[in-house]
Amino acid sequence: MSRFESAGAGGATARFAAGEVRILSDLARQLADLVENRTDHGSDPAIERLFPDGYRKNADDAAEFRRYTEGDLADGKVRNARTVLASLSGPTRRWRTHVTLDAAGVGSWLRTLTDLRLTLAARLGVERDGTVPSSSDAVTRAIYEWLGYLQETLVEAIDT
Amino acid sequence: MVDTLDRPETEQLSALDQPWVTLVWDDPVNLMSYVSWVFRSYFGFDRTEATGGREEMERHVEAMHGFGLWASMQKADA
Repeated sequence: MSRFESAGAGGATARFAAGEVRILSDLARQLADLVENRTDHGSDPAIERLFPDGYRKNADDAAEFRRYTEGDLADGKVRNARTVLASLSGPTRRWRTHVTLDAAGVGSWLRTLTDLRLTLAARLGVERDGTVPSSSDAVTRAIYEWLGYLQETLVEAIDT
Repeated sequence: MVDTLDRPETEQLSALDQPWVTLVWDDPVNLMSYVSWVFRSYFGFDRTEATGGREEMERHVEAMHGFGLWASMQKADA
């Protein structure tokens, strides 16, 4: 399984196998679509979590906050997902796609990995204590865990 | 396995002389290492206090949502 390594100056690098590139690209594309085509809140727990209320005790304040911030928040999520997608179309050597990120690219990746994990967690029905229901789809579960591993290596890479 | 923020606690960013508080809620998905990185890179420190009034708290909440953290704000005495 591929992992991120430090590239210095807050950057990071990884070499992904073709299968990994395909999954990550599909997910980033789906995330951008999900965010762009979102409809009313409350019908999709993933959207609800990606765009949470800024005020929990006052519905009017929450609605107003949402009015002011949701557009920019959505744009940012789509932009980050597209950045991830673009970085996955880099050079391939020895059957591996080399991804090299500067500090800004790392920021986009960390945010997109987070949004993907939040979305998958909603689909899997991850419980409050972090338990992933064993009845959930095994492939989705494996991808969720893998994205967590990848994110962990990325945080480690820029922390060292 | 990776660590997740599974402790029932919230991060409270408040100022004694300000009437608003930003809360970053515990969530079972985000990795503790990532949440730490967010606090350090955004606030410049890990898990301590920030100061500010309502507008500043709104900026913090908006930024936390940008990082995928579950944050909200309320009056400090609420």
